[in-house]
This record gives sequence, C-alpha cells and structure tokens, in this order.
Amino acid sequence: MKRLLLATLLLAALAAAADRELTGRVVDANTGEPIARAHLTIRFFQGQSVPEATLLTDADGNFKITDLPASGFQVFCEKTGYLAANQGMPPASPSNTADGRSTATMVLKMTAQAAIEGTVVDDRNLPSQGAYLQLVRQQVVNGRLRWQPAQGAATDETGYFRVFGLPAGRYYISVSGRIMGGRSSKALAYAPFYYPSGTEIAAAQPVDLKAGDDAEIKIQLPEPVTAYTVSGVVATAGQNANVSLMRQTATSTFEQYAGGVKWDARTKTFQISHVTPGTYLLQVMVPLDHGFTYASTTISVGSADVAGIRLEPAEMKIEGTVRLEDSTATQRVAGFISAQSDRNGNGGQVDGDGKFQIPTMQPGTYRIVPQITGVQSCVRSVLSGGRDVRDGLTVTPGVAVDPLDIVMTTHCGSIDVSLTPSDTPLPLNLTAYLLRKVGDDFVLEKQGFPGPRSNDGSEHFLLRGVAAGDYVVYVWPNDAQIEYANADYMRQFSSYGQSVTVSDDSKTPVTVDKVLLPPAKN
Amino acid sequence: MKTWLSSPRSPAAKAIGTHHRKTWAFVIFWLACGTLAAQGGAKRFSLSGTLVDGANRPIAGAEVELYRDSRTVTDDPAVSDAQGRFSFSGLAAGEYTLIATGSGLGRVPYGEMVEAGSGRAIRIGGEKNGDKSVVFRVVARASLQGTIRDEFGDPMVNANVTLLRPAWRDGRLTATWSMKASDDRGRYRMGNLAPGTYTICAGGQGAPAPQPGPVDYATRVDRYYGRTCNRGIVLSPGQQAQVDLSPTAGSAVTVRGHVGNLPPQTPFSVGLVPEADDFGEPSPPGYPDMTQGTFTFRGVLPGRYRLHAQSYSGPGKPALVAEAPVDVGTSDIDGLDVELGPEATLDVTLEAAGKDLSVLLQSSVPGSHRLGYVQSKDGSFHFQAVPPARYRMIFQTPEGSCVASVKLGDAEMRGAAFDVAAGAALHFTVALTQNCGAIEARAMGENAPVPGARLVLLMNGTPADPGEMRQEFADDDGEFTFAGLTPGKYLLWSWAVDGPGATAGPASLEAVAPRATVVEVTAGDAVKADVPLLPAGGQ
Repeated sequence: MKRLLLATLLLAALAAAADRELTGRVVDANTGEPIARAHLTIRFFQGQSVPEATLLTDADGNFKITDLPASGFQVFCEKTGYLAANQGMPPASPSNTADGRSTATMVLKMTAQAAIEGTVVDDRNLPSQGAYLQLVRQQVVNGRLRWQPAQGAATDETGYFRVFGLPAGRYYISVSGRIMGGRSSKALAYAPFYYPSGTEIAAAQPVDLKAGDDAEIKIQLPEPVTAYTVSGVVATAGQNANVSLMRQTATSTFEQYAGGVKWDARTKTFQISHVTPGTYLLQVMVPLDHGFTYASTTISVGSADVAGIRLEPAEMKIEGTVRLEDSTATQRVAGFISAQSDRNGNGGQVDGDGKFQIPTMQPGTYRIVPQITGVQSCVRSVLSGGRDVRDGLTVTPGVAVDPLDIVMTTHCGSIDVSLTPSDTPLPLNLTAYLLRKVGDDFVLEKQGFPGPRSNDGSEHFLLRGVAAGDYVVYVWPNDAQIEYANADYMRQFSSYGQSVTVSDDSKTPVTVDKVLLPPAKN
Repeated sequence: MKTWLSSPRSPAAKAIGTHHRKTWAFVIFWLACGTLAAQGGAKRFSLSGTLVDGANRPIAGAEVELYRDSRTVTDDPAVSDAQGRFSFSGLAAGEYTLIATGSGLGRVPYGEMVEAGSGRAIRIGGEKNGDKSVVFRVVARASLQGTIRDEFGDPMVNANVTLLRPAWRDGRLTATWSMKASDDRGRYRMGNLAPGTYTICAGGQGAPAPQPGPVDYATRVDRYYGRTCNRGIVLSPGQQAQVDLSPTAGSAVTVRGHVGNLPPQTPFSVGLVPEADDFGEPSPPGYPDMTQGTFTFRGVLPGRYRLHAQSYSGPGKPALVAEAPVDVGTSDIDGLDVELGPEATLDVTLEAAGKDLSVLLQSSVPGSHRLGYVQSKDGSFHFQAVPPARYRMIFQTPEGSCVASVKLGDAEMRGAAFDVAAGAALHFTVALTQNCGAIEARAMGENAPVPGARLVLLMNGTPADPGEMRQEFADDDGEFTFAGLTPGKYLLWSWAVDGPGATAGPASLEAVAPRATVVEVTAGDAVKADVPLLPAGGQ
C-alpha cells in the first residue's frame, strides 16, 4: 500500500513538472550594467522540503534554467561586492502557453554594498586586538524608528577590522576595547564609547555610506578607567544560569554587553568583573526542561563594587484558550498564538481543546497575534482579566498574567485594494498596509502583496480575514522605512491613505491613488 | 576565530602552562615548605631573567607577568629594561609561570610548548631550587594570509579557512585547528602564530558550487567545494607568509534513506559524521531534509561517515537510537535504511558515595562519540542514549585517590574495553582507594634532562589498543609527576618537541612499543623513572 502511494505521488510530481523554464538577467541597480558570474540559488518550496539548484550568470549577466518544477520558488542572488538580492516567483499557471510550456523571465537588480574598515589603537597608540566594533543605525521596527545593531567586527592582532555587506545609510560605531597584556589583570577597562568619542550616540559622529563606498577610519581608545565587580546570588536549584549585564544608554535602546561573567554552580553566585561606571540591566535566565525562568534588575555602577545582589528567577508564561465565536462544543480550533514585542517574539501551539501556552516569555509589552488554521477567521477579542490586551499585554517578572480568552470569528471582511495606474514606473516590492488606530497610534493589522494586474493595468492587493472595524490603507515598497505606528509622523502622509470601514462578511473595494515613498534624508 | 582544541583540562590552567595532576608533587613540596616555615618564617625567593628574541638580542620595554596557580602574583607586570632584564622578588617557594606581552610579540609564555599558549613552569625555592634566573626567549609571532578564489578566479566570500597544526593526542599524531571565514574580498588572515609547521585548508561553507551556463533542473548534478590544502608550510619567526588557495568544485552525491521503527509523530534527528574528523576531511554535509522518517543529505563528498539517528520522545522518556557506517563513493546512495532500536544506558555507582568523581565514556570508534564527563556528587552516574559501540571508561578521581576496581557483575573491568549493544543496560560499580602510587618521571636526553619534552603514560590497554593515557610536558627540570596511580605496571615514553611550534611524535604507540619504559608502581612513595627520549622524529 505504501509503495502504491509512493508511486502515485511520484506520478503526480512528474505530471506537475511541466516544461517550465526561467530566464533572466542580473544587473547593477545603479548603472544597469550586467553582472557576470553572479551566483544564483533557486529554492523550490515543496511541502517541507526545499530542494535547490545553483548556477552562474554568463558574461552578459544572463541565466537560464529549464525543466523546472511547477511549484513556486525564490531566486537568491549573490556576488562579491554587492548586497544579496532575491525575488520570488509564484507557481506556474497551467495555461501559460498553448503547448503547455511556460517561460518566466526576471531581472534581478543588485545594489553595490558599502564597507567600513580601519584600525584601532589603544591609549598608548599600540594596535588593539579584540576590540569589538558594533555598527548601529536607525531603522523602523514595528512602525517605529529605533536604534538597531547592524553588522559588527572584532579587530585582529594588528588592530585591523573590516565590516562589509552594508546597505547604504547613516551608521554610528560603538567601540568596546579590550585591555590586553599585563594590565588585563588589573581592575581597569575601557568604557564603551561611540566613535570618535562620547558615551551617548547623540554626541557621536555618523559615518554616511553610499552604495559602493569603502570607508576607512582610525580609532583610538581612550585611557582605561577603574572598573568594578558586580556580584550576587541567584535563587535557583538549577546548575546553570546565564547571567548577563547590558549597558543602558539614555538616548537609545541599544545595549552593550559589559564585563566577563563567572558563575559558581555550587554556591549559585555570580561575579562580573571589569564593569565600568554606568547604568546596566542585570539579567539571569535559568534553563528548564522546557524554556527558562527569568529575573532582571537595573543597577548603577559608580565608584565601588556592587555586591549582595539577589536575583529570584520566576517562570513567565502566557496561557489561555482560543475559541470560535458561536462555535459548537465539538468545533475545535487549531493554530498558533504568537506574542510579539519590539525585541522579542514567542509562540505556542493550540492543542485539541483550544488551550495554548507560551512558556518562556521575557519581560515586555506584547501584541497577541492568533493564527488559526483550517478556517478563515479573524480576531474578535483578546481578553485578560476582563481587559482587552490584544495590542498590549505586559509581562513583568513575578507577576502572573491572567489567562487569555481569545475569541475568533469566521465573519471576517475582505478588502480589495487597487492602486491607480501611474505614468511613472512603480517601485519594486509594493505592499498594501492595513493600519488600525489604537489610542493615538496605529498598529499594523495586515499586509498584502500584489495579485494579478487588472485589465486597466492597476495593481491589486487582496486583504482577507479582516475583522470588523475602522482602518486606513496605504501602499508603499516593503523596504521603505515608514514609521507607520507613529500617528504624528503619518499625519504628513494623510493624503496617501484611504480610510475604510469593514463590517462582518463584507467585501470592500478601496482605491489608493498614490504610492507612499519615504521622504529623502540627508 | 575558534580556539585551539585542547585536552579536557582547565583552559585557564593550560593558558599559562600549569600542569594537570601534579597534586602529589605539591603535597611533597608543601611538606618541605611547612618544615621551613616551622624553622623561623617562610623564606622568600627571587626570580630574575633576561628577555631575548630568537637571535638572543635583548627585548626592551616588554611587559612580563608572573603567575601562580592561574593568578597574577604581583600588582604590576615587570617591564624589561634596555638589556631585556626583569626581576621579581619576595616570592614564596612554589611553581610559577611567566608571560611576556609586547607590541609585535603577541602574548608568549616562558618555555613555550607546541600547544599554543602553553608554557613551562619554573620552580622556585625548595631543597634544590633557590633563587632562579632564567633566559626568557620570545620568538616573534608569524602570520599567514591570502585570498581564496573560486575556479573562475573570483574571490570567495565566507569560505571556510582552516589552519591545522600537527599535535599528538590520544595516542596518535593528529592536529589542532582554528577556523576563520574569508571576507568580502576573499581574504583571510591567521595571525599571532608561533613559528612552526602548518597546514592551511580552504573549502566552501557547505553551499553548492554554482554551474556556469544553462542548467537543466531535472538532470543537474550537484557540485560542492571540496577542501583544498597547502601542507607543510614552515613559518619562521616574524614571517608574514602569503598563501592563496582555490578550492576545487567536485561532484557530490546524495544520500537518501529511511529511519525505521520511528513512532508516529515523533521528532527525530539524523547526522552524518565524517570518520576522519580530526582533519575535517571530508567535510560534514549540511543538515538533511527530513520528512516522515526519511532523510536526504545532498552534496556529500566521498569518504567514510557514520550515520547516527535518534528519536525524541520527550524529557525523561527513553530515546530510540541507531548507528551505521556509511561509505560514500561517487554514486548516489538510495535506500540507506536504519532501524531504530532501544537506547543503551550505562550506570555507574561509586562505593562510598560522596566522593567527587568524574566519569568519561570514550568510544573507540574514530570520529564518533566521546560522551563527555559526567560529574556527580552523590556517587551515581547515568549515561543515556549510548550508541552501540566499544567503549572505555576514564575516571577523574579526587585528590589522593585512585580507582581500585571497576566491576560489571562479578567481572573486573578496570581499564578494559567493553561493547555496548542496542538496548543494553549496563551497571558498573566503582571502588576507590587511598593506596595509590605515583611516578616521578624525567625525560632524559643523552646526558641531561630535557625541559619541555613530551611525557606519555599509558594507563590501561596495550600499545596496539591503547586505552586511557596521560600526556604531559616536562617542566623546566625535565620532570613531571604522574600522581593518583593505581598500583600496577605502566608504560612510559618521552620525546623531544622538535623546536618551537612543531611536534614530532610517533605515528602510534604500537610503533614504539619496544621502546617503552616499564614502571612498576606501588602504593606509597613515588617511583622515580628516567624515560629515555625517542630518537628524533619520534619513531
């Protein structure tokens, strides 16, 4: 029986493998020049397996691959000196050509990378080995502009470093020097700073990189300062505990690791040496069979060792039930519930009884996103202790979260977004964004990618599974840095958005006149 | 950069060259010190020296740190003067190590060994060692750099660059290694290298090598980058060598198979581990595609592997395991079926519980499992999901004790190898004793002891089928004390380290079996043993 099934599947696969070919060209996004010997990887998505094929472009930047399976695939492209590029292709439709052949064509545009290299010398002008340079840039995360770590590199024994594969943009460099040699045993350390000096990013000098730039900088470490020890005990029965200390800076949420941590499993004590003065978040995670317990505290290191800290890790979890509105007792819900914050995300499966548990949470404020399978549904409410926490469930150490009661409905609406045709070429990667007003701000409810173009040439985006409510729809390229959660910021673009009210079981057409492009920055 | 692989000992201890298992020597030593102290206060000593380069020229302005038991002894390091001189005074008797640091020198221990970062101890005080004066020779570091290019001459980004250095470990000549990835221009740099002989290799990161020209998806042949090596690179002090490498893209095969006896809805893992893993050849293939009990490894380069499969039934529940050898040639392998069987478990109970014992279960299969130390405070040890293979148990005993017996039922198994079959549940009982002996070994050249020579003690097994062995470097006086030995007959070898940076050692202990020094250890006093050096090359 198993063999028969296997043979049937094989035949089905052969039948699906239409004579499909992909041709294309890889070019420089700025100059349009072809890129020879670009390295292409084509990944097919067939169930759980992801078979792939690789090939190179010819001297004219062209490539061709034949006998492709009919499933959808993604093309990834790499070339020395360029940022990686990728483009997706949906499954072939069976009637592309009269003879059953189907030919897809794509042009992949690659953008030249930027890089920063240079040398770090210590306060005595000697090459500094093991200094870590972390690039930091402002990026939109969940609709808000935040400081985000980008790539980083450590210096070698000659003090040299190179950070590459950078998109064009404005970067800041945080520098954490390491004392080497005879002074390493003393209570001295380099206070982390932003290039060229200063502990706050506001006073730092940015490095502006254009595509193709290869910037060179020289960095000198300041005089090391007296460093201190932070020590304490963790109230745990576990053998292992992951204790970390992260520097908090006033102007950003960016964190710098500090100090070397020693953990004594016998006495459950920790000692972190070489900590320079500043404010830190001290965290501990104690692994369990499933997940971990967590504790944290903010400490200030001034001009003395900080001792006697006691951390009491507690298990932080979110649990609850999910059900369909008006459902019968026998109607079961399957799916996955995720909790997403600006920094963390976690989730848990819904079991056969509609119960779920997200076991290993870290402190923060989370948005609850249910993803129910097998039935088109949308969220009616997410309650915890009688309060709607769909857009802001706070998890705090030592405070149990009231069980969530998630109610889904099948009476969802849908929105057909059409983009008015324009004479100017459209940017790549357009996406429709459905925003919902929460208090003074917006949250992203859904996003949709373009479907087939209509006869008049307009792009269409279909947003399904939308809960009843009031929304605003925008269209912008998905790599654009739009601070959509910030209502003040979005006010300047109010003419780009279209308000829409969705009711149960409705299908609402919306026309968006123009694509929102982010304002140019210096 | 990954660190050099090391034998299971404290990295801190290794970094400054203190020796493992010298407790017994310390006991004697501190007894002597105690006598001195009782006679009118602890005597203090000095350690002075001259820092010189490879050509015996003084090195000025370098920092010299003094360590004892992995800790710095003085507040400030000494700084060498214009003649390269430095000194420390007011030191208690004991074993010390020195580390010099300076621009262009790197961080170099006194009496540098072939294992990077390890040095020799200096004994100060005691009956035969008063104040000490040493010549601290610091050999300038070398570096190796170059560009990795593909078969078309383009720089390879993120290529795997592995630096190998010959080393003698577990009874055979093998290699320590460190690894780096090439940058966006295909460049790599391995710096701060002690002079010596190296091998540098480059390969892909498991990503397939792309094919030029149109590709037919249905009939395509996977090509992966094999590892290309440049062997026998001799780096002289301070040399900055340039070695460019171009990995060749070779055809690779696909290995498909099925894991039988897998319970429904049970997660499982499958791994294909190269047998000759010391040199990383062949490279282990990437993660397999796994669906419903089947697995597919693509891009497997020819070589000998072991397939290991295991199911996960949940915490605390028994796992199912399977293991099989796989010879990969130039053709695809289809239908490699392995049947999961019940896991084997191994329990060890220590008589007189409460002793601080560690147990290492070591497989005799090359490239296979070394299940690691299990430590216990209550005297019971449990190894689960033990793959079927031949094993030996190695014990790390508390100070002053050694293993008296290891019983499996009524059979005495101390030092013996044993087979573990699928589903087996073996229970060993271990007894320790305080009636232990020691060997005060001295590596002897033609006329004098040889500081820094390698000393190898075979604890059990035979030269042809060696079991546990201890391998150490002789101290500044050419000596090393192996303590905590169960009374019985032991075999010892020693050989000189062939200059800084290079290791010479026999290909195997079997090859030098006739040259072994046989030592009979009895409980109580240490047995003194002069171990003649093996001839140059260690053969």
